[in-house]
Amino acid sequence: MENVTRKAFLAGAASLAVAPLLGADGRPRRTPLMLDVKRMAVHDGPGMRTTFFVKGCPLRCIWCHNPESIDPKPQEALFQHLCRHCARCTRDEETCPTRAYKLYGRPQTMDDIVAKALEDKAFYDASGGGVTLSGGEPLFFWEWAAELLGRFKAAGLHTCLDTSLYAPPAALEALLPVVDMWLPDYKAHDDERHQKYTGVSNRIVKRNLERLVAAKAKLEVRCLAVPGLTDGADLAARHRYLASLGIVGRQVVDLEYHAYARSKYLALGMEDTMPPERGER
Amino acid sequence: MKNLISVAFAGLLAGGASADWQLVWSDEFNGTELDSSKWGYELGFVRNKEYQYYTNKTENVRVEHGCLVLQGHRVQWKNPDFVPGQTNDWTRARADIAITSGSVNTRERFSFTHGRIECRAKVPARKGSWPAIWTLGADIEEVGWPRCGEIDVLEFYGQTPDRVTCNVHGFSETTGRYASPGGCELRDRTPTDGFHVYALEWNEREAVCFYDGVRYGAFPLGEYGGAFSRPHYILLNLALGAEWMMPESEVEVDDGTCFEVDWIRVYRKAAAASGREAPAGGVSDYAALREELRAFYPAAYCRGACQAPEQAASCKAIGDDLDAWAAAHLGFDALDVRRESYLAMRRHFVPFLFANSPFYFEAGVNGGWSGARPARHVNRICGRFYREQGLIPQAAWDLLSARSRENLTLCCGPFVDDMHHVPPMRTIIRKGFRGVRDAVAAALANCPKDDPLGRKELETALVGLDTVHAIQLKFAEEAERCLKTVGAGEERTRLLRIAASARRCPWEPPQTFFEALNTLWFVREILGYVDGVNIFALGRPDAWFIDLYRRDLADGRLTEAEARDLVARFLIIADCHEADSAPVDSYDDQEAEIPLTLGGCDEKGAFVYNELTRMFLDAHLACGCVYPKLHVRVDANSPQAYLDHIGRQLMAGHAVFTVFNDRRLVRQFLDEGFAPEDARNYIGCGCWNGYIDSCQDVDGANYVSLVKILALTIHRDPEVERRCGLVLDPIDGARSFEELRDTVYRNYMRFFRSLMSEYTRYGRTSAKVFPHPVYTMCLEGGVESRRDTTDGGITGRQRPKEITLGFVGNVVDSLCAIDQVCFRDRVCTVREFLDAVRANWKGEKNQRLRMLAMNAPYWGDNSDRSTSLMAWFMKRTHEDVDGFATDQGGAYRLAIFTYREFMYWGAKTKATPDGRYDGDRLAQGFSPSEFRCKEGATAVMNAIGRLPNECLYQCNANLTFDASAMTPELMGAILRVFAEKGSHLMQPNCNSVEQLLDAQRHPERHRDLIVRVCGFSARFVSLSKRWQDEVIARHRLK
Repeated sequence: MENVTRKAFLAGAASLAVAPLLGADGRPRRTPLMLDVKRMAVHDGPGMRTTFFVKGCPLRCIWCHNPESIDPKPQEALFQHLCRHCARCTRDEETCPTRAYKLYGRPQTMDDIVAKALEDKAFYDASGGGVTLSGGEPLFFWEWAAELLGRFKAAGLHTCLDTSLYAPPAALEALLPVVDMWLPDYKAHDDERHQKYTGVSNRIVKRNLERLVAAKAKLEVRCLAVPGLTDGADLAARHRYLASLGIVGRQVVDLEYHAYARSKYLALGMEDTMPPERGER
Repeated sequence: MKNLISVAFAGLLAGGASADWQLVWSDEFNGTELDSSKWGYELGFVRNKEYQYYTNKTENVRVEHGCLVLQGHRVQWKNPDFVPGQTNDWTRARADIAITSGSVNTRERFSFTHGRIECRAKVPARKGSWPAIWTLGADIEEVGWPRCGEIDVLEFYGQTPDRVTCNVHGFSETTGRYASPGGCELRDRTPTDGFHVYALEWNEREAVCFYDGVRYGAFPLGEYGGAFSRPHYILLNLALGAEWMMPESEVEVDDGTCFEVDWIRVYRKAAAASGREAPAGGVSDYAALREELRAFYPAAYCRGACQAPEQAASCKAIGDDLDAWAAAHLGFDALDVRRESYLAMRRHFVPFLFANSPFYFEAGVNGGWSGARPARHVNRICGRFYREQGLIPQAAWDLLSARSRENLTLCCGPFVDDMHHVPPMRTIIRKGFRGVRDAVAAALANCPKDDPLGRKELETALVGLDTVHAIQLKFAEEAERCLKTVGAGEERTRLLRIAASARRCPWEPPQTFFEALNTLWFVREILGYVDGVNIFALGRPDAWFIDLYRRDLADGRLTEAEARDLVARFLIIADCHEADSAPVDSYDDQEAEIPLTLGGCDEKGAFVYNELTRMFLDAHLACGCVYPKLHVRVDANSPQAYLDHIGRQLMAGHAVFTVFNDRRLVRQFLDEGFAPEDARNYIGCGCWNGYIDSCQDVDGANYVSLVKILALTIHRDPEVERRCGLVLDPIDGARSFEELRDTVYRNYMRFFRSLMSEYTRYGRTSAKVFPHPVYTMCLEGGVESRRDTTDGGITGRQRPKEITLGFVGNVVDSLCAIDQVCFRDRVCTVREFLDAVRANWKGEKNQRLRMLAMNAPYWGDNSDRSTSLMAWFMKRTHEDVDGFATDQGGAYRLAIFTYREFMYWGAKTKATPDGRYDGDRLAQGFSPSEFRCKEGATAVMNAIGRLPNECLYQCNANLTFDASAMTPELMGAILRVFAEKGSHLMQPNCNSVEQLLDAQRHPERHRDLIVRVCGFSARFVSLSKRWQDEVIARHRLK
């Protein structure tokens, strides 16, 4: 009952994340830890889907609602409101009696991921659904993502990719053939604002968006409106820009901002950067 | 949900409750002082030795902020009425006044007889506070209390702030004493959290109480010397403690000791909608039908027969005749008594026709399990044979009751379930009761001389069938009698139709859509009446009657609108068999074995989704019915529109469905050797049982708690084991998982075998006590066998006995947990692990072991280990039970479903290795344990799909889907996958946690939200708090 499993795991997981694995072409490549799987997901593309979340993201959005998905390394979290303060904490997710202790990020082989995805194939077929890769930022691991989505396609599954589009051109080219539907974010139109709140420029994002349009990729662009930061004029500017690319109507989805993730920042020992949501003081 | 009500039905709903009531008196308390034209004060010490002294001072009684405020205060006053040495009059015996309060009434200002009184009020959360909204007979001065009558719309006691009560008090002329039916209490509410609406509907028959629109109590008012047919005045008061309640010093009196009344209103029934004398006009008047039915059927299910005095008298006359006959005849047997009962019924049967119902069937016995039905009198007379003739020895009775007391087993009867019977609808539709009689008469003519028992069975059945005919004709006569007094209008049209139809049908087969629908009710009720069998299904009208319906339309006998009206009324009759808004908590609160089957393949194999299917589905939603339960049959080739139709209704919060998988059930019946047209014609019965109408009789509700046997294996109790005849091998020392698993299995199979042998040995004895000759002859093979269905007349595949493997999910989870922790991870020994279970997981070390157990594979996660273990259990049990014959020569059929026992039996089952604590709920049927499930509904459905489902008969999973992440189309897709996966049954709920929590806070906004609870559905707001919480907890499973 010692926390051997945890230690061994942490060591193993870290080595997996740090030491790049070899890709199908024999070249080393980055492989993500997996955060979560959501079955019967209905907001991540058409029909009923299974969504896989990877851990690791190059952006630093201050409003990030999945702070555990930013760092590619495994992370411990302690939810104080659940903790019953045992005399001897095992710091082990498996034995924590209240699940106050949580370990984010687990290695998972591609075979396991594909097998998991295939479990619900009957439901995808009946509902016009499939699988969605989300994160984190899947394109942070684009070689791995291309291979995984390729395997999904080969298994006859419809694929969606939920991404910030902050990725090199090569990533897009590799993914285009294996993604049936793209679910990119467009976080801010004003570049200064984009840099300030996400840590990166939106030039790459816009270039990639234009490339997707040129490639006639199927799209559903998500626009988050953070009160006082990216709502109002910026949201309107994003809509105008998207319309100029021909992305209109149901291809644009505005998302309301919520500050639900505050407790996770606290549990992870991270600084809570989330701006207040509407009505929140 | 409104937008989903089809336009056609929206029209029919007009003229609901509000339109029927006219406001006759009210006080909205919007002024600045009490309106003295409406209210007077009570002053001083008044009644019940209550502590408060009523005054008319503004600190005790005032109108402010739009409310009447009655407030209590602590004072130190001298009692002005005090007479030293007074002992007879307590109001003068008290020297001091410690508490003051207010009480107002409408005496000599306003009184009313019958109507609806509504009051929006807020009660104080203070110990000793006893506010009330009530009425007293205006003639109290002349006749005194209790002769004047008293109705308590609300009584609230601050020391039990989670409940409200209503009551009726009067004087019984029969007993010459004070009389009250006893108060009705609505628990698990939060009346003190704000204003709530307390209401009472009062008519000549009964008083019905409501809390926020939820009906929770009803009192028959037939007795009491007419006290409730005379005017009553209204009282509002805040009493504060009384001698019988608590010491005066403990009464909490502070600034918050206020009873606030926002408004009070009295309505009278609009004349046009009040019962038989004033016939209702127009098809839209379902409120009148509902009111009439509710007045007729008992408010609570098992409390008794209908409330019509004519039926009660007739029932008693039959009983008296039978008792007299039995006293005069020695050496009779059960068939003799049955024959005499048929004859007595012919003499005494009193038909009842509802003014607003087009159908004729009502025999006044509530068709369900009511012990008041006259056929049960046969059981009462012959029940003594069990002991007198030594049919069942005392030791067997003791064993039976010990096992059921310990929640090891449940059976709806001593050794056979005599409460669930498959209807013989198709027989009667095909050849009428006359056809059955002809067959019986022919068999009697050819009956071999050496079969006196067969002859007697047939002769008795003939008498019974003639009684059925006589009963039917009495309906025609009753309709003719009513026609003499009823003028033109809807009711006359209905009576004319009944007078014509009841002359011939269902003695002769139905020839119109109306007659066909009527036949379903008639067969159900009349077989319940004559034979005491509870027919637990109404059949599948969309498949059986579509030709009649189309022919009626083509021939101009019926319009579509008329058909819709018939269908709506057909459904409402089922809905009103129960008090559909009575609070639901314990077994008897809400139950109606009245399901209707829709969809599925017809006898040629084509899928049925026709005008009638749509009509029944739409009417059920539009009329807001909870009952009949809808058993919808699906298969992988069901039309998408049909699945979407069901999906839409689920999304609308109308979870009244059990989904039956044709792919599994039809296959099963074919494998058993039934003819394809029969197999395809199975119907949904009871809670979740598929059987073949007219072909089968079953013994359907027998439960065994596997997890209780496992719990007893761990938490030993020699005394219980001895009383229940359990022999349990210990598992603490198991050296391998297989050894442990086999020991657990051996323990339970040993019990199972002993149970089966008890059933087989004593089940047949019911033939000596309670035979069903008429019912038997209506079933296929009954006439030929010349033996009663209780006596092996219907046997083999036609007569299965179903046993439910209760809570096998918890057993699988427990074994997986021990396997993981003790044999795979080797964290501790089996003994150490079981010690943790025995300690109810107390202590840090045990808590960690519990978490390890909770992380092990569990049933429903679709992992290989849990799924194969479940499959192993199913297969082994199936093999070991195969070949055992039941008392009726049929086979044992295994099932997996659980009724309310998952809550009640869970409460009395100790901690188990799957991480359950003492008393936690158990897993529901095929659904995973609520405490374990992480993977969600698709994983459960996938796991079920991998099981050897052919081993078992009826397996049900309750699955909850999150409405906030669902569309009707997705719901439809889920139903299709369910059909493809090959599992038996599913009961879907589609709601969201937010919606359910809001319904708890604002029940008035969610009156129409219906959830599937277990074998029944209920309005969510009618469920008691613990059941509401359980339904919410299912979202962990989504």
